[in-house]
Amino acid sequence: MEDTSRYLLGVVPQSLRGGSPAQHPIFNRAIECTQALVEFYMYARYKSHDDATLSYMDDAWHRFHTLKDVFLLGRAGKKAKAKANALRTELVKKRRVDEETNAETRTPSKKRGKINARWDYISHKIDVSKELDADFNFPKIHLRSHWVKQIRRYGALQQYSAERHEQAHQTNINNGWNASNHNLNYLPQVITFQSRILCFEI
Amino acid sequence: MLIAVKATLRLGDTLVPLIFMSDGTHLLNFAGDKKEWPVYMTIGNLSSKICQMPLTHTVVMVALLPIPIKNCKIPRKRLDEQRRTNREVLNDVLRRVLQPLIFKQNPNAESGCYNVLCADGNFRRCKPVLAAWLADCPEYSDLHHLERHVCSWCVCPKNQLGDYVPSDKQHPRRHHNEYRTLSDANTKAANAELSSRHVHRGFNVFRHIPCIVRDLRKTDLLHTMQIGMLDHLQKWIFHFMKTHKGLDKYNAIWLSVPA
Repeated sequence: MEDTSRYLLGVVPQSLRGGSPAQHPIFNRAIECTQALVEFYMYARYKSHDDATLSYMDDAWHRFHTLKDVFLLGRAGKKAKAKANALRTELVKKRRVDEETNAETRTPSKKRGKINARWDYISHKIDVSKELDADFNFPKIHLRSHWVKQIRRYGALQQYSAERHEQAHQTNINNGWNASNHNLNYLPQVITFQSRILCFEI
Repeated sequence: MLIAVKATLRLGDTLVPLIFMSDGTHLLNFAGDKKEWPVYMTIGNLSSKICQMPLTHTVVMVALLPIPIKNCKIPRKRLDEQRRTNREVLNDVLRRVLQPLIFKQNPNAESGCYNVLCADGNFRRCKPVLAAWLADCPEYSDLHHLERHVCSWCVCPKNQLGDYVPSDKQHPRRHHNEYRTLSDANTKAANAELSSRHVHRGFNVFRHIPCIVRDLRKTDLLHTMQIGMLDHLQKWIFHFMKTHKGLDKYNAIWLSVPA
């Protein structure tokens, strides 16, 4: 993810190029929102901070919050999806009834156009219902609001990276597990293996 | 916290800030999904140039705990009971691991100081203090006896987690000592108060160790940003592209990015 964030800002505007003029404002919003979040991440990775960088950081975070509604559809959870599915079955049923009542009055080409328009209408309706139920209430988004204060108290965030103990998994546990007999009593084996290796290396 | 402790030290004493880390790791996919939950320890006195090198063994494993099996298909009531038992067991195990830090139960340590044999052959009086515990989001709620999906720094209502919080209008902070007295009281009003703040009732080790429990949590860039927030962003962009029919183009551009 560290590498992908580097390319993300290049990829998103490139793939949103073109499109109808009606789509332009919403595309611009999406690009700006992505930019704000990536910018915030880049500021958070600074090795030292002062008041100016902290205010930039807070500003990027504020900008993200004003623009985040663009991505509301991606936040639709299980409940919103179930509701949208119920709505879809209802709309499809309605459409079938409509079709049967005035099936004879239309020529085939006109009918096809009508059906396409209806499908678009239905998918739009479903999206709207999903957006209504979706929200951004998850803990990780809230944690960001504490970062500025944390940096002021304890210093730059890079020192708290979890990569150190992710690395320790490899030397301490995975090697021991690979050397064990993978049976039920592998735990003591992992521990003894680890302590012996540690003794030798020290 | 550390500054306050530093003021109580005598001449020649050494302050040892202990940094604990824990993270689940899985060893095997099939044959019963073997998973372990190691707890590592390191100290803050080491220079960062040394402790970032993986081969120097600065990170020492102090406990290797098994992860309870996920019970999805049992009834709700039994599931809650099982979770409560899991919490109790976890806290009991952690109490044994962190025993030397709970000074009241440990008569060997006078005022929390230990005589430690150092590498130069001399003994030094050291005072260990629990300074930080690095873990990922759900583990904090387990360790701090909180419900899942709440903030462990402040009392923020669940339906306002996604709002922007200006720096001068922060939510009230959590006070774990207060939770301890409420949990010990075990009256109806106290329990209602606890559940309104999304806190579980019962014994919690961290509330018995002299430290500020709220400050044990440190912001961890890897977990909260790289595999947390940016991962979410990726998912949102995917949905956005899908609704605006640009997914093929998006994928094609990703393919052309040099690896």
